[in-house]
Amino acid sequence: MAGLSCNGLSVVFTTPAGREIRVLQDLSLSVAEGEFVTIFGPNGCGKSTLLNVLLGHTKATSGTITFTTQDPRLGYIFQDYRSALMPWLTARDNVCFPLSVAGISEVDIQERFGAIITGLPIHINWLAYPYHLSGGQAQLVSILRSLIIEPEVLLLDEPFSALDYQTNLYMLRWLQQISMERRVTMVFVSHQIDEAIFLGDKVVLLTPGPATVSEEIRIDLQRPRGLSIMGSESFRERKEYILARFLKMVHESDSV
Amino acid sequence: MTIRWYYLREFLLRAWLPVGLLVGWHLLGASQWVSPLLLPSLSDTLSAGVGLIASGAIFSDLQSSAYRFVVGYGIAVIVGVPLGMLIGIHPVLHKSFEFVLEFGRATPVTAFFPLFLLLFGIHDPSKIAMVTVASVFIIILNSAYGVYYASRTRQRVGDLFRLSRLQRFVRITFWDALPQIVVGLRTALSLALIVVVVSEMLIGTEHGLGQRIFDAYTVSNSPELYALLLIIGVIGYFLNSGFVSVEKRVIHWKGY
Repeated sequence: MAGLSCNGLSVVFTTPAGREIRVLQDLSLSVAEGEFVTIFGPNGCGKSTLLNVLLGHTKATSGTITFTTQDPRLGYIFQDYRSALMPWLTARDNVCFPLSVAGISEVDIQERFGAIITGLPIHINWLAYPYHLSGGQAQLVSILRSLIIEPEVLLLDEPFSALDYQTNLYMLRWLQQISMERRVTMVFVSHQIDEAIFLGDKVVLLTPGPATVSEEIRIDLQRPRGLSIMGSESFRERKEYILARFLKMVHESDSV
Repeated sequence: MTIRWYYLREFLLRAWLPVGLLVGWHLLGASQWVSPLLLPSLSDTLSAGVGLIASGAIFSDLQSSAYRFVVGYGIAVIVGVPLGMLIGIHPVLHKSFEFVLEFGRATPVTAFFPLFLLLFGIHDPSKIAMVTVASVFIIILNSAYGVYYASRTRQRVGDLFRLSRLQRFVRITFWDALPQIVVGLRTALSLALIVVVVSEMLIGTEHGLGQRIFDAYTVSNSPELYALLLIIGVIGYFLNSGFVSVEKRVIHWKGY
């Protein structure tokens, strides 16, 4: 298990024309071990960049990232599951891909695969290729591929944004269950306020770009949360609060 | 009933034109409106074709042409695919080679024919070299493009699961590039067949389909000339459709 904290993160991209684009601005954030943090903010504010910096694929221009364990195993779920899966491998082989490249024996792979596919929210034909899977099935395969390496931190970039409503709900409930059972630290970028509140131990509200943390809102609703909680009074109160902050922030940035 | 009707319709849609052309050919021959030197009758052509096969006369030509084709195309594949992939991996190599490759591809190989005579003499090596040169540029270019335009997301997946450079190439890049590589192989296949026949006509040989066509033309043996064209057409058709059916099975994910 690993938590993380980032301190004063800034990211500046330079265009080929030499123009500087500031994406993250002095962003500080801490995520405790096993905590489920959802990141919510305006479109294009730099949420995905933040995940890429945490993953180490994008270098921060300044600031530091510290994990509580050394060199933790990270999982990453891409928004675009179609291009993240290997279309030449079956669903099963996609899930087992990281184990297979790590040289783990077929017997062990089969055992871990068997363990990870119990209690899934939707049915999957494991011999099917990704192009025969629905969006929900493909994204589930993609998540399982990251879970099978038993990550300490799982970074998710709007993973359910392309799914239909019902599948989306099933996936939310399942992901909460995974987080509770495995105590994986989760950083989940979302542009759906309901999703962010339902999943999060805290919702981190980012400002319009260049992004920094506007506010952290703790969601102290008891777990496991049922899907019907989204219709409850306590849920609505929190949603109204976050929405008001969000609108105020977006309005201020528009009027500048 | 509907399914049977569907297949019948599909068959008729594909068959009416070839059958119609043969019937038209037969009627035109029977009407004697066209000189048999320009268009021999269908029955004369077919009996010339049967004669070529029954007497075994054509087999030494087929064998010689097939030898040049297989060796010339084989060298192009063995050299072109690895070289193309290497060029595709490095953006610097890609940019350095781009002009030369496009130049080589765009220049008709037949224009080089006197040069090949000087370099390789009048026997098999010059014909094989023509086939190789005609095929190799297309194979290199497509292999390079396949690697160069491999999915960036899947490359990141490779980073995520900490694949070594070699692993990333063998487990991801190669497969990503394969559909485009095969496009090159298929295009080069048709071209290689053309160039074998042309080189035999231009350079001359004892045995070879191109030479036999030229001989038939020289002695004004129109039925044999037409029969040879039909035979070469049938070979080309089956070569290509055989390739496509293997391609569909191997690269099952193409087009998704």
